[in-house]
Amino acid sequence: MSFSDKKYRYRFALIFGGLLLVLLILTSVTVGAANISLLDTLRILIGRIPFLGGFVSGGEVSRTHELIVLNIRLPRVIAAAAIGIGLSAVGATYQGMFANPMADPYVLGVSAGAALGASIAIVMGADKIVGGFGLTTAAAFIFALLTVFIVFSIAKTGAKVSNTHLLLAGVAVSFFASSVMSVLMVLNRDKVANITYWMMGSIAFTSWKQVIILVPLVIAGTIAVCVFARELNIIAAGEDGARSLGVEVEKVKKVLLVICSVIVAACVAVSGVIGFVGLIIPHTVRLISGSDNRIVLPFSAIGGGIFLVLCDTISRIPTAEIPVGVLTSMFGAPYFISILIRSKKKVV
Amino acid sequence: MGQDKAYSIEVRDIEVSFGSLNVLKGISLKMERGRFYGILGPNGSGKTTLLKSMARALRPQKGAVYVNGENVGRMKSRELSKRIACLHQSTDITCDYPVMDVVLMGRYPYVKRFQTEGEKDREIAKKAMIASNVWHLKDRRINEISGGERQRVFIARALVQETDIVLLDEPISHLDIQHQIEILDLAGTMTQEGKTIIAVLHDLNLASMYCDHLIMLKDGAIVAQGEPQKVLTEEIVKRVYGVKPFVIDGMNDNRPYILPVKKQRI
Ligand SMILES: Nc1ncnc2c1ncn2[C@@H]1O[C@H](COP(=O)(O)OP(=O)(O)OP(=O)(O)O)[C@@H](O)[C@H]1O
Ligand SMILES: [Mg+2]
Repeated sequence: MSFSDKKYRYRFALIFGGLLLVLLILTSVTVGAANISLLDTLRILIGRIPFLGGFVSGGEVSRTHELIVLNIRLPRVIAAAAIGIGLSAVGATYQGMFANPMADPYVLGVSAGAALGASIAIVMGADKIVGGFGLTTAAAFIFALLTVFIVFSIAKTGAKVSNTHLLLAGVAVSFFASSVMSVLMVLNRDKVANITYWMMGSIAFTSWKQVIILVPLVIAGTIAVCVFARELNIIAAGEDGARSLGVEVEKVKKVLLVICSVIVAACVAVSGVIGFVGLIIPHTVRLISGSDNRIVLPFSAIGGGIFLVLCDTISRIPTAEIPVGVLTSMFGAPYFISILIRSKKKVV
Repeated sequence: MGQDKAYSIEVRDIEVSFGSLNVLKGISLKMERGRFYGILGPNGSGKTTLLKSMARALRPQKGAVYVNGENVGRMKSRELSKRIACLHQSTDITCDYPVMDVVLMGRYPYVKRFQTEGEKDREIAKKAMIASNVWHLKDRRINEISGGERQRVFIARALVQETDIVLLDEPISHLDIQHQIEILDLAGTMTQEGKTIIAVLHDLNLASMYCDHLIMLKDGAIVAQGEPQKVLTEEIVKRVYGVKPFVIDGMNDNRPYILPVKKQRI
């Protein structure tokens, strides 16, 4: 069946997925160490919505509970959704663009660059400065973008950017950034714990300040990426053919690279490296729907949001919180291996 | 510089090199509307490079290509893709789209952003798919059909572009004889509708049978061009391919027929 035969079905499924995500976010807010009832949580949330607020009697909800829900849980759950959306959308885009199923959002060195930036900030004591807009986050973001820029400059020849060169340059620059970071860690042993924890990928301490920057970047970026789904499809069916159809292949690639880099840089800066989301979610979607990017991109985005909110919720259940990045890898790796084994059977 | 609008496509003194390798050494061609042109030549003689330069998939270092007098190098991508369709030589594919969707990609220049292909586009696609005999494959996945079937799907995609000029790089190389004839017949019909067809062919006899005008390339230069009788002579074929042929005249409206002769018999 061709795409346009099923267009409305996809649109409906996408809206349904979006609603599911919102519902999940609300449910997730009720989960955590502090025992706050579902009813109280709803009261706190609804109480904050203009107009509706008047209808709830908020008197009996304690101030601490309100703070926990509004300032600790809500921002982190929203961040989880946004990061899941961003990483999966970028993963799906890269896999389509590079025609490489193993491309994840970090292939171009974003994670290594961000980690280096964060390490420099932590070593310089920037994480201790309270109140300012997280200097560590800012450093991570800037270094992430800087790394991609370097990778891109190495890979490009004239107007063209070859996929192979990009991926290889990404690997090389990542290793270089990581080695610089190792040197920093060796020279600053007292900071090793902080740096390692940052790299584990946690969203436990996400603040509203970060969310306010992260969410618009991710949403705008994801929508922008989805707009190019048709071009991405045509490019995947052959670059020369795409050029003859009037697709400006190099321009599309460059625009997508810039958008994707900004999304991933923002995600990594807030959360550290959260692995496997950008790999397994797009692959799962592709397994169900086929490789049409008009389907894969939006559904990966929603699916990634749902997946990361779920993982984040589970990470809060044990008494000592497990960083969400550890959880995604713990669930993601075995699942990914099972996909691999299944696809192997298909080929043989 | 006044360009002659009488020509559908005009190649003016183009030179292409990859590094120090000169692949096209000053090629000039004038092609008229409604005719079927065949480009011939041994492997590596620059046929694909010439076709790519015409389709602007490649920018020549020197010279230019004109479509109805307009410089192709200065045209907008979308505009160009409404004038020239190009079937490229290799159609290796890593995606798994339904055949119908692949053909509909040919409507890309006509469908605005934020829109999907409409009823009219699907009608055009259907017509093209019937013409290239792939309509029965419409719901199959592009990576799960045979090489020849895929070739015909990409031909349908080029038709759907509704251009006046269609470039075909070895359109019949993976096809069986029935489909070879079918595709060339289709190309012939298209020339009657006023389209200009330019095809790279390896089969000298089919080229002789179908083309109005042949262009013989060797080492990036035109060795001979003109109607089949003038190009497919014993002397030229031997000079270009290094094999001595046996030429039979007077077959299929006086078109030459080439029989290769085993080397040791010469
Ligand atoms: N991208 C490239 N980089 C370097 N050399 C190239 C490139 N493309 C083509 N060439 C060289 O240019 C020459 C002409 O190639 P072209 O593809 O035009 O030949 P062709 O006539 O189409 O051959 P075939 O019959 O095998 O398709 C060859 O020697 C080839 O090696
Ligand atoms: Mg060729």
